[in-house]
Amino acid sequence: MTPQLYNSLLIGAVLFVLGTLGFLTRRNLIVMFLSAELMLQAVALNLIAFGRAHGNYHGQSFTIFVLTVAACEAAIALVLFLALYQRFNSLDVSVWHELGESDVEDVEPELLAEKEFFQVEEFPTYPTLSPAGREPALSKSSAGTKKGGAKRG
Amino acid sequence: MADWMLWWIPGAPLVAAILLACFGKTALRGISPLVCVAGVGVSAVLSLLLMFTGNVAEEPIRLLGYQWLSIGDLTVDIVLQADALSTMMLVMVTTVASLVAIYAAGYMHGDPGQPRFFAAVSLFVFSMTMLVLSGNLILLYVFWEAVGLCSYLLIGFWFHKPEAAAAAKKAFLVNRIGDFGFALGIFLIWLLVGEALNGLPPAGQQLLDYSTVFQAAETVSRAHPTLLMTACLLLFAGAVGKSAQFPLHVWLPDAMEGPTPVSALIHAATMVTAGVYMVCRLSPLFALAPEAQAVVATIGGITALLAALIALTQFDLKRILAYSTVSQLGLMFVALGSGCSGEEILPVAAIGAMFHLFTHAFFKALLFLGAGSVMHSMGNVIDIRQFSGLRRVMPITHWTFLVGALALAGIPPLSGFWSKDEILAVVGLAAEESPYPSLFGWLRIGVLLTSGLTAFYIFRAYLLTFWGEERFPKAAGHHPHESPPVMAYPLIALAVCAAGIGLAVGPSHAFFHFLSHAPGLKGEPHPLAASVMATGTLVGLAGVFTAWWVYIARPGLATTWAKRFSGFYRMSLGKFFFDEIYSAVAVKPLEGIADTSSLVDKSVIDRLVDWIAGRPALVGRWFRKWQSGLIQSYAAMMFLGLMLLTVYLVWVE
Amino acid sequence: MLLTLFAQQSATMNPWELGIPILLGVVGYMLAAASPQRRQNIPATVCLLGAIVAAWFTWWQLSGNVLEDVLFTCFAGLMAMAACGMQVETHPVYSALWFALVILATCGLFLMQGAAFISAATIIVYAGAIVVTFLFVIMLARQTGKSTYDVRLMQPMLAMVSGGLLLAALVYAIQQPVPVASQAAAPSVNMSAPTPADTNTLAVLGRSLFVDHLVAVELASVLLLVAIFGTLVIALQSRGQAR
Repeated sequence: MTPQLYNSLLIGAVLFVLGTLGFLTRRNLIVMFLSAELMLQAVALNLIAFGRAHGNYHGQSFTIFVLTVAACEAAIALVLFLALYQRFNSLDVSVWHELGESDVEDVEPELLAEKEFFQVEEFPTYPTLSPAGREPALSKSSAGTKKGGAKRG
Repeated sequence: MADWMLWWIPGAPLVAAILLACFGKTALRGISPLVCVAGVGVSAVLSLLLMFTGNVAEEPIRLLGYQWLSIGDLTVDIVLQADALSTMMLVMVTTVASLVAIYAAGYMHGDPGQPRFFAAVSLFVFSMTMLVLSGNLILLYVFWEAVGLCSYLLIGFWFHKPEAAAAAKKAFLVNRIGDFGFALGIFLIWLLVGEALNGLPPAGQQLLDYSTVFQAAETVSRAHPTLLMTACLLLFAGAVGKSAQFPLHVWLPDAMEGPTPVSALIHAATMVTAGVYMVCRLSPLFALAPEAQAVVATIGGITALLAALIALTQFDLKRILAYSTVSQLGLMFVALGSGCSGEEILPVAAIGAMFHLFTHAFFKALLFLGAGSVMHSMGNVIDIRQFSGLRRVMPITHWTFLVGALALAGIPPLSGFWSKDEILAVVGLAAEESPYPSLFGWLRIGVLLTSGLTAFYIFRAYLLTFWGEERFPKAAGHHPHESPPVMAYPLIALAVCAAGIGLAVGPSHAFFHFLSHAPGLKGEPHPLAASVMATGTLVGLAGVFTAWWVYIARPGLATTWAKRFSGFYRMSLGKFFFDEIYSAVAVKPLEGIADTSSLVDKSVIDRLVDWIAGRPALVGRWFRKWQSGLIQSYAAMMFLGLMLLTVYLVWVE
Repeated sequence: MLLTLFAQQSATMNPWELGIPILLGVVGYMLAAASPQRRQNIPATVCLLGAIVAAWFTWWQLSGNVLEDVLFTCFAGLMAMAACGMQVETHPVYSALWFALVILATCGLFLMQGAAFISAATIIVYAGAIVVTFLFVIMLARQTGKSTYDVRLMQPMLAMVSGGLLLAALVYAIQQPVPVASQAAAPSVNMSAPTPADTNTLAVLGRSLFVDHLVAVELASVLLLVAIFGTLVIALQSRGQAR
């Protein structure tokens, strides 16, 4: 195994795992979808590296197919997100859990989060009108410091 | 006689049955009796044509329908076989059935279940004609069960009545006992005949065809006499069930819960004679097992006497007739059993039994229809204590009933006399020439006693019903009346048959000569003996006279006698407590077992099953936590699986 | 399972070498993905960068060609950082931009592996088309500001544990020596194998696509067509329902 192939595979693995992580944790449908694309890219990297190692163009051909499928997926997924957003006015994936067992506890992610490693504290509310589409200062301070959230909350 | 006509003898009632079953409540509403009468009538006309125009006796017809099934060396064809015996049965069944069907059109008028009734009657006629026409044992068994089914359907016709439903169930179950033996008998015959012929039946015949069985019988009896006797006894068990012989006679009196035409048709005239027909049909087989024949005769004798004794004290008119039927069937079996006396006597015995069967069908149907007429007029009351003196109100019923009663009592020159005389003669011969002289000596006394008792009880019923002061039950309403013509004419026709048929074919031995062409019944008729005739007549007259003495001349004497012989009276009134004994010996223990099984089933097996069924639910309760419906929890499982797979691959490598 | 993994480890790598970068990454992610009040941006960034550097030190192999090594390392590091940023970022628009950066870095890696056409196509398709579409959708959905669901994560512990284990397993698997059988097996089924004189890679790729994978190309075109129609149908339906 050449170092180049090895390194490519390594990067592919890292990229794949990062995509996995995003897909599992993020609740915004669009970001989840981007994470899935990340995993596809990791696979494409592997394909190209293997194609080069074997000295043929199958890997690149397959990458083109991956691109094709990704494009189709993007089109369908985005229009579905739009439809879902029109229904519930939210891009939260956990809104859609009708197919689960109805009487299972802890379905609500808010409740799930309470039992997780991180303690949940009251989340600051945003002002409804943000001036000129700029991010309100509040959210940055809440991410950075602890006091900003407490004041507004 | 073209072949297609033979097919239509069972075919016409079948078509009627199918039409009535499919369209009885819609297109054919209101004319269902007509359809049934037409179907059965076509069958009757064709049967008469077959008997009088075709030369069936000398040249039996054999029609192959198609091959039904073929298993190993056993091939079963749908085959119709019309010989003298079948033709005789066909004529009897279809004639009586068409008269009963006409009668039933009046009797069942206004019943909402009319289409069902006539569909079942048509189906019954189809099954019965197929039963007598079938050319092999398997087909015989199939239609044997089919008539049992029709009987069940018709006894339970008023299924909303609990007694009727119970009676239907009882009849079916008691018949099952006999039919089980019958089936075993057929299997044994199959084994024996297959062994005797090495599984190779003669060309053009199959293994269980009657002709094949009869050809092989000689070989079989030489190789396995005991097994042959066992087979005969097993077959006879079927006859005991179907023909209501002791100890399986208990279903027939209860079967009177069905409509009266059904009682007349099925439970008196035709279906119950299937057992007699079967034993007669297989008489070449029974001839090789004299012990079995002795058993047949003994059972018949016991039944005849027992049923006659029970009939003495019953108050239900239809039940008296039912026990009378059981008794008369017993007499037929006595005659059949007397065939063990030798090759010359066998045909005389078998044909004597068939002759009595033939005449009995007419006069018993007549008596039943008369009883039905009385019942119809009295508002469904059948207890002879509640009415009397009906002879002026119902003249036609009275006269026809009298003819039937005289025929049953064996008074010359009515038909019952000639056939009963044959039986008496045959039993007498058997007492002298058979290997079991003492047995048949007792049987002769029993038969004579039965004749006397028969005459007594039937005239008791007749006198109590039609003589004495005029009394009607309240249910009859203000104005009891004669039955409508549609019911009266069949009565008259049957009365003519009951009166004349014996005289027509008895003294000239025409019946014998016709039937002796049937397989295994070849022989010469026994000349009529004046002494036997005189004895029979005297006994019958004595019975009639005693009845008149007890119930008309000395009213009150009956009560006195009942008190004096109270023990016997109670036994007879309680039907010798057979039902109670069976209940205690068989039904209750079986119910106990069933209850125990049910208890075990519910408390042990069901609990176990529930417990086992609960285990997956427990596991599921654990796993369903992950079925949250959130995509990401499913994805997490997928990735965990992927990880485990990777680890596994690396580790294995 | 994991114990056997470590127990059977080959001599080329010890558990610390495998574990340290992963642990650093996990700690960094935990710090970055904590609830809004506890979020520690700077330690998180330090940890994540540390993880990348540690991974380079422990896992990376040098080929000897300096230029190639440097370029490869740069692209890989950029890609890893951008991917981490994308996962840590709470605003979807920024996430999308980080994603575009990941794509660019990946394209650089493609370019280095002699896949010039693929890299160009990827940039066009993703950075050009897909990211623009995303932004369009985000605007359409009127995402003003961050929502609760962008900040709170779903089961981060479970995801981190499984992700860390998966990465460990993958890296370990990659580092195993390749079996002889699969090394020797180089089935030359491609009818359009590049000749040494072939310098026009695009022509060779085209030959490979339309000679070796013609059926797959046709299927892919059908798939695209179906996707277009499906998009139209869903869009029209949902608009009808919304009204």
